[in-house]
Amino acid sequence: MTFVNFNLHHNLKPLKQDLYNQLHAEGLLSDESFQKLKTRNESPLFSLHWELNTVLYLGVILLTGGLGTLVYKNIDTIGHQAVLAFIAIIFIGCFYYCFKYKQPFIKDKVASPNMGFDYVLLLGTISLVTFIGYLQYQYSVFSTNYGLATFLPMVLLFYIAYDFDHLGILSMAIVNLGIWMGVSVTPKSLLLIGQFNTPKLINTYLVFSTILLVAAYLTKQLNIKKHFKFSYQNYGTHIAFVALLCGFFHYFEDGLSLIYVTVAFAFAGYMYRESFKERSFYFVMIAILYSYIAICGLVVKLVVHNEIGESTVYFLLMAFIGSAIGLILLLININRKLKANDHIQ
Amino acid sequence: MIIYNKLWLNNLRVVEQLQTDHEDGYVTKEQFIAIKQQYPVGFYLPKLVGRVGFFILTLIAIALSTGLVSLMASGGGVIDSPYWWLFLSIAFYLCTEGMTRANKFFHSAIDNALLYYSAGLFTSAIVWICNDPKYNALGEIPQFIMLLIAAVLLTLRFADVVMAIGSCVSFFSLIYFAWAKTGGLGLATMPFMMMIVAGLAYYLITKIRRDDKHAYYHTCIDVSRCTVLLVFYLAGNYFVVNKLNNLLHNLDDSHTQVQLGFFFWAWTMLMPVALITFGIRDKNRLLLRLGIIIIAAAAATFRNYYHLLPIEIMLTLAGAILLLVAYVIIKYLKAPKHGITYAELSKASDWDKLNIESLIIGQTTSQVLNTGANPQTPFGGGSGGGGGSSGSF
Repeated sequence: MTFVNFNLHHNLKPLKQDLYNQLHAEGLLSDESFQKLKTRNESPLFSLHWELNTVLYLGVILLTGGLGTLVYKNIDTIGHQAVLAFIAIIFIGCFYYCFKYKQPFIKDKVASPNMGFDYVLLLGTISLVTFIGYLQYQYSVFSTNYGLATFLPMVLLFYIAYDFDHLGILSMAIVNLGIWMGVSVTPKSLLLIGQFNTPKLINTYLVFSTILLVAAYLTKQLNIKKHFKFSYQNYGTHIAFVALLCGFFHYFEDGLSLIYVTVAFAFAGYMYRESFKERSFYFVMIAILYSYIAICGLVVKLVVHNEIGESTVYFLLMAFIGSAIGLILLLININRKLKANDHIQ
Repeated sequence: MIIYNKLWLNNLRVVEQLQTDHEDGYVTKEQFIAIKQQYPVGFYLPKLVGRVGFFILTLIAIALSTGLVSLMASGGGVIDSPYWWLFLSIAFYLCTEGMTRANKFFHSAIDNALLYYSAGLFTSAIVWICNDPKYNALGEIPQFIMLLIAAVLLTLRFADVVMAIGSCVSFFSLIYFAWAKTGGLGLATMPFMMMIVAGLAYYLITKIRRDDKHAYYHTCIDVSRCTVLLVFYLAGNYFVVNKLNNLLHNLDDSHTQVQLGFFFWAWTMLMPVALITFGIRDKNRLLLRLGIIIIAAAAATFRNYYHLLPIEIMLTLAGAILLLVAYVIIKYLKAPKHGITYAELSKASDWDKLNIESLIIGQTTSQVLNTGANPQTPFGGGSGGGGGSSGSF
C-alpha cells in the first residue's frame, strides 16, 4: 500500500499565507502582526504537548494500576506495613518536593512553578489520602469514629487545595466534605437521582449544598481564591436543585411538596438574577432548566388526579412540546442578550 | 448543494483562523475586532454550554412531538408500517431545512438534533423495509445503497461530521456485503479487499482535501479520513481476521490460526509504528493520534493470543515504558528540534474553561477517598461502600 500523499499540512501553508497577505493588503493586519505571522508560517512549530501528556497520563494510570494489583495479589508475602511504608515514602517525597518549590500563599491565583508540579502534588495528595484510608481500613486507627476518619482527610484536602492553589484537589475536598456528611457527590452519583430517596438524605444534601453556596458567596465577597468560586457554585447549585426536586417528587402526593418546589423556584430566581449580573450563561441555563422540570412536575400534579384519560395525555404532550419549544426560544434570546455586551463576541 | 450562505462560510474561516492567532498572541484585539467587522458572519453560533442545552431540549421536543403525532395517527394502524416512520423522517428533514434557512443555523445544535433524529428515523425505516419479509426483504445490498446515498447527500447539504461518518460506515458495509455475495472466495479475500478499498478511498479523499474548492467540507473529510484509516487497519488486524475466518468456516473461537498469519501479525504490529512515523515526518496530527490509539489495539490483540506475563506485570511494565518514553522525548524536545516542540502553542479551549479536568479528578479519585465511609455513619448515606482501597492496593 502506498503511503505517499500524507503531506497535507505543507499544502495548507500557502493558503494561510494568502489569507494573511490579503488581510495585510486590506489594511486590517498591522505590519508587525503580519511579519510575526509570516515568520511563524515559514517555519511552523509542531507541538507534541497534548500527545506527550496523554502518554504520560496513560503511563501513570497503567503503572499505578499494575503495581496496585501486584501488591493486592501478594499482600501475604509483602505485608501491610511494607505497603504503608511505600505509600508513605511516595507522599512524603511528593510533599517534600512541593513545599520546596511552592510559592507563598496569596489570595489571588498562583501559577504553578513548573509543568510537573501539579501532577506531583496530585500524586502526593492521593497517596496521603490513601494512606489514611488504609490505616483505617486495616488497623482501624480511628476505631469506630468514622466521622474523624473522614474529617481528617477533608481538612487536609482543603488545606492543600488552598495553600497550593489546585482546582482538582478542591474538587476532591468538596467530594470528601460530602462523604464526611454521609452523602456521595461524585458527578456520576448526581446523575443517578434514585439515591436521593429518604427525607434524611435529601435534607443532608440540602445542608451540604447550602454550605457550598455560602462558600461560593464568601469566596467572591472576601476575595480569597476567586477562581475557586466556580467549583463551589457548580457543585452547590446542582446538588441544591437535585435535592429540592427530589424532595418535591418524594412528597409528591403530600402538601409538603409545595414547600420544596417553592424553595426551588426562589433559589432559581435568585440564581437567575445573580448569574445574569455575572453574565454566566451556564448558570442561567441551569436555573431555567431545573425550574422547567419543577414546572412540568407541578403541571402533572395539578392535571393528573386518578384516571388518566386520553385527552389528558394529549393535553400534557402538547403542553410539554409547546413549553420545550418556548424554552429553546427563551434560551436563545438570553444567550443573544448576554453576548450583546461582549465586544469580542 | 450546501445549504449555508457561502460568503459567511468563507468569512467564518477567516475569523476562526484569526481568532486562534489572536488567542496565541499574534494579532491584537483591535485588529481582530476590525477583521470581524470586515468579515461578518451572520450564523447563529452558540457556545458549547448553550449547544449542549439546546441539543437536549430539541431532542426532548421532537421525541414528544413524535409521540403526539403517532398517538393521533395510531387509530388506523399506520404506525405499524415502516412507511409511517419514513414519512416522519422526511417531515423532520423538511423541518431541518426550513429552520436552518430561517434561523441562520450553522451546526447550532438545534439543527444537528433535528438532522440526526431525521437520519435515525430514516435508517430504522430503511432497515425495517429491507429486512421484513412483508416488504419483500430486499437484503443488505439495497439497504446500504439507500443509506449510503442518503448519508452522502446529507453530508453534502449540511457539511456534518456525523453524516460523514455515517457515509463511511454505509460505504464499507456495502463493500463487505457485496464482496461476500461472491461466495467463499469473496469471504476468504475479504481482508485484502477491504484494505485495497480503504487504501484507495483514503488516497481519493486526501486528494479531494487538497482542493481549496472543497474547503467547506474539510472537517468532514478529515473525520472520514480517520474512519477510513481505522478500517484500513482493522481489515488486517489479526484478531478481526481470525474472527472473520472462524465465522466463515463455522469454527469456534478456540481456533487461532489463519492462513498468512505472519502477514497479518506484521500488519497488526507495524501499522501503528508506520502511522506514528509518517505522522511525525509530515507533522500530521491525524496520523499521529490515530497511531497512538492503534498501539492500544495492537497491544490488546497481542495480549488476546499470548499470555506471556500476568496482567499486572504487563500493566506495570507498560506504564513504566510509557513514562520513560514520554520523559525521554520531553527531555529531547526541551529545545525545539526539526520544527517539533513540547511547548504548548495554543491557549485554553472551551473545555479548559469548564474545569473538565477537576470534575474528572473528582470522579476518579472518589473511590480512594471513600475508605472511611461506613453505612453506619450518623448521616446515614455513604454509598459506594468503602471498598475503594482494596481495589487498588
